[in-house]
Amino acid sequence: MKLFTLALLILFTSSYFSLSAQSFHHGYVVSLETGEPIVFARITTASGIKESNLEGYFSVPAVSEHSPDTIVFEALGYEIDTLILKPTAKLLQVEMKPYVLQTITVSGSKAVRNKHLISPSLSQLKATPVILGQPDILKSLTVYPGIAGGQEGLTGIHVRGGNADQNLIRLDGSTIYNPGHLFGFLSVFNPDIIRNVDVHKNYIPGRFGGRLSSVIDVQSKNGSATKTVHTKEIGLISLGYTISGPLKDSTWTYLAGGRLAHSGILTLGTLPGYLGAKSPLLMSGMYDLNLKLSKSYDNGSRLIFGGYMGDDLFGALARSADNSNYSSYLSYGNRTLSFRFFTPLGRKWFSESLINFNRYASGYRVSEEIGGREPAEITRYKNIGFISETTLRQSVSTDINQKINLSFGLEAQRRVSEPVRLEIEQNGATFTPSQFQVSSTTYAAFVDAAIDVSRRLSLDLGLRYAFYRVGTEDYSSAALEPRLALNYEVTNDLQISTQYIRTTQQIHSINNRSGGLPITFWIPANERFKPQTGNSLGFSLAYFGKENTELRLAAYTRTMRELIELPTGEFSGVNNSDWLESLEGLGRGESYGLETYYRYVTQTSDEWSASYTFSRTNRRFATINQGETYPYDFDRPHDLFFQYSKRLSDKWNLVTAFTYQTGRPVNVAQAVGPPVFGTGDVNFFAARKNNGRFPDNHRLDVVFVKRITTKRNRTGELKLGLYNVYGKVNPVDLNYSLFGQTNRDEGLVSYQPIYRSEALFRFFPIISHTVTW
Amino acid sequence: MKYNIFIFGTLVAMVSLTNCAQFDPEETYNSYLTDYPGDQLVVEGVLSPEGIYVRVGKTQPPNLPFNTNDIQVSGATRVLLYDLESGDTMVLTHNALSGAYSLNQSIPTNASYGVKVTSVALPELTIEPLEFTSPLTFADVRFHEDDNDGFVLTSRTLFEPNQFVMLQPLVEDSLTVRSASLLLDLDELYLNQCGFNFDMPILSYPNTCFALDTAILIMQHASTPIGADRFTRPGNGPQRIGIRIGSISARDYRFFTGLAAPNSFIEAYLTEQPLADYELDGGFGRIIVLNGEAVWKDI
Repeated sequence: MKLFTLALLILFTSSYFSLSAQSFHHGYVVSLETGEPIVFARITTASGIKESNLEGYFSVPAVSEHSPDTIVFEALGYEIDTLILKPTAKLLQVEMKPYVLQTITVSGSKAVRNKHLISPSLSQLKATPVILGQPDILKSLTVYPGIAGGQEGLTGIHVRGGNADQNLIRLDGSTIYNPGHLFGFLSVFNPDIIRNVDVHKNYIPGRFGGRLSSVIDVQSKNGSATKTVHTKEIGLISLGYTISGPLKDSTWTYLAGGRLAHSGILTLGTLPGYLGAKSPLLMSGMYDLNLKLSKSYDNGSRLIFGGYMGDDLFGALARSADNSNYSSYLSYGNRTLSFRFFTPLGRKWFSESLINFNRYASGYRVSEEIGGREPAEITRYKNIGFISETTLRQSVSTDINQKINLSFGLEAQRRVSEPVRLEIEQNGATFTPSQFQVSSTTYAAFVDAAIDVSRRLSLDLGLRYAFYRVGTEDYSSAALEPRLALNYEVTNDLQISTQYIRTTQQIHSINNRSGGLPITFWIPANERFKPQTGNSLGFSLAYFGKENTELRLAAYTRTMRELIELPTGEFSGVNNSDWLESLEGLGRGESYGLETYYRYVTQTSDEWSASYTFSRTNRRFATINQGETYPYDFDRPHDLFFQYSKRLSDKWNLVTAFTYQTGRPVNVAQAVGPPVFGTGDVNFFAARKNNGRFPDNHRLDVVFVKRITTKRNRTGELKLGLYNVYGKVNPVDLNYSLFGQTNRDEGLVSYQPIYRSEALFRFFPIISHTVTW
Repeated sequence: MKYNIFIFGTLVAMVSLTNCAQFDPEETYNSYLTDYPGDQLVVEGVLSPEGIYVRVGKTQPPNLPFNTNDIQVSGATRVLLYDLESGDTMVLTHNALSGAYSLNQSIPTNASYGVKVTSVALPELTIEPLEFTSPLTFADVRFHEDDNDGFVLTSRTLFEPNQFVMLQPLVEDSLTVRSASLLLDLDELYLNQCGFNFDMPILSYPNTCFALDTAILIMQHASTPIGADRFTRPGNGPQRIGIRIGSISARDYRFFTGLAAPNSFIEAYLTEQPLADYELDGGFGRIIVLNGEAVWKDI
């Protein structure tokens, strides 16, 4: 620990010194309209091409110390800017002008260093139809190959055969443990505050760790530095408001946003059943708040304070004919608080420091009051689990020369978790079974290098070393995670790449379903359940055709070890104090697939895009399915997405999207027979996990988008559309039971099996009205 | 304005009438799974130091109507218990009254066993190894009547760490008393934590449920069967009621917890169809090995 602290201090200190006397042009690329940093702007000089980083910072070497250079700045959604500059020590602020007429999209960008990255523009993400009308960043990502949604309407994302918990989802550097609102119908990312979304799935740089499958790195806006900007959004069941602007002397900016959503209409639909004591009254609601303060200094440094909080509540009330009352409430929420400091060190280095705290808590309360107004028996369960993290991270990056970009850093993370905290109250007496709280610490060091070996050949190298220690159990583990990508530009338009990454995850999760629902129990790795490890090998090809054509192909295979699972696949066992004992460990997993993606934008800004993924993902545990390999919960071999955006007029756009997926695996009865230690006279035998599949699901969504200008000259959008236009019932749940009938003459009981599948939504209107001023 | 209200009202009606839970009768079983392998044997049994009891039945397709006769074996059926180490084989006797096969003789506990069931026109079923885990005994046991026409057994239980415990109600009487139920009367709050198998003929608990020194077991007659009637053994002597405490394997314990019903309606909503470890070589079912002491009370 002392050694680690010392190394951290040395790194902090040393990063403040410039190591080169070469002349550079350096500064920030920002939007002229709002002052927001522009991410991945392409900067072309006579000596080569560079990109701005996530804070909009760039540093390019000057060709000569005396003569001026011509520098071309390009960015999606902005007009090209060409500057002729002499090398200077001064920090530049390049303000780029947005296109006056905002089109749906601009041509696909040929990323220079981030060729493995999915970094869609916000306009692309916002164009995808989603169930509640409000743009949803995570749902929109599922249009890309290799990224699949959990189940209809739910946010759980599975990347290349990984579980939902195997994605590192970050907002401004803070981990988000559950990215879903309203059981995943919305994500926690308010689209009005998002500046940039990056998905790392082919190649995960060494600076990211702690998860097996992917990294979804979301950056929020700093807030407008030029004027106060308001955005309000009203949907069928949601509303939101965001405000941002400069404070005082314009060196401070702020951004605040909030959203609220409820299940009002759906709750009304369940009221008659509740009043008639036939079915429960269901209700749901959520809110979230974002706050960000940013301070810019003359030397180019930025201090950013950010916070997020959001909670969800799902409630169900039921009553029986004898006036007994039952209630159940599920709740969960994320909190993040972060302080970040960015500063250019000289003209060549860029430093990022982060201190953050995040906490996720989820749980449920169940109450049963048996027997009328004066209940004879009252039982209440309360079960809350939480996980909290405090992280300290320091990294620096630099261009060693025109061909080598280097970044490295250190990270320390303290994690405290209590997967289950159960309290039981029965008839006035309260009891708390034994709890366990685990604290653990992870220290990591990482280094990333992007090397241009030749004009066409480049290398991405990453290395991460993570040391993990559990405080109470005296368990520790160390992992070295190499990452490598070899890239070759066959022609200016064709790139091929092959990647290998090794990842380690020091935490496990158990879900009560396929990953989208909020009750997830996070279990830190320990002696019995060791850290998960993954090894991935991939190959990808990207072709950027004339005009706006983009074609991507990829193939991958991944093996996973030390996975855990609930053998019975059921959830109620968590009420028992030995539920950890019932988990199965030492699981192995494998996934492989082929991914294709095609996108074409016409001269009139109409856009076609299609993606298709063939993939398989399997698991193997000693006590599940007789130790044989079985398809995992989200194994859906075929995943097809097609989207067409048509510009109907200056004001109207039409967006249509078609989705097709193979049905996910499900436990199905294999036979029926006499009971085996169960109640009743007959028994279903569902002995094999995931032995059946739901029918394939598909749907077509259509949205009309109208650009509007209000009487007060405010601009905005009106979205009207329909989710699942042709009303396909896509089941998400399967229940079966037996209807028995006694034949007294023969002394027999006859049984009729009954199967019932349930879908969440058949049709759902998409209505959303957004105004910005 | 009226136009907007009309649109909004239409949308609300559309959501209310067509959404929430959609039941699709066309999504039949065949949409999910079609590989019914044919009828197979089903066994349910208990192997204890005092003998073995095996009930035999057979499966039917899970998507077609059937009656209680269809899940009984009708042809000649043999149930064998064999010692895996010595190769000794014993044939279980069919008991016409209970419809089950049993062997009422003491069985050495320091061995591993297998059970083989053969029945005409059905695949042979084997289950092995059946291994006795370390035995459990009652301590300071007292068995007395309580105020509710039942019996209270007070005991201390001695466990090793990581043991799983099962309790089996035992009844020997005429056919007039059909069943017994068993309640584990620990602290009520432990009950909530552990007592998820009230309606089972065998109750399984993790040893953490027995953290108290003294466990009070209440065993009651029940005028209606509560799941245990198929373990009732008719006897010729005085009616007896008893209880066996036994240690079981982790796998058997998992099997029983897999049978657990959801604790609340919301759990039922959130939980998928339960999955229990029924699968055997040639069929379905479970034979539990229960190694421990039984105590009896004449009634």
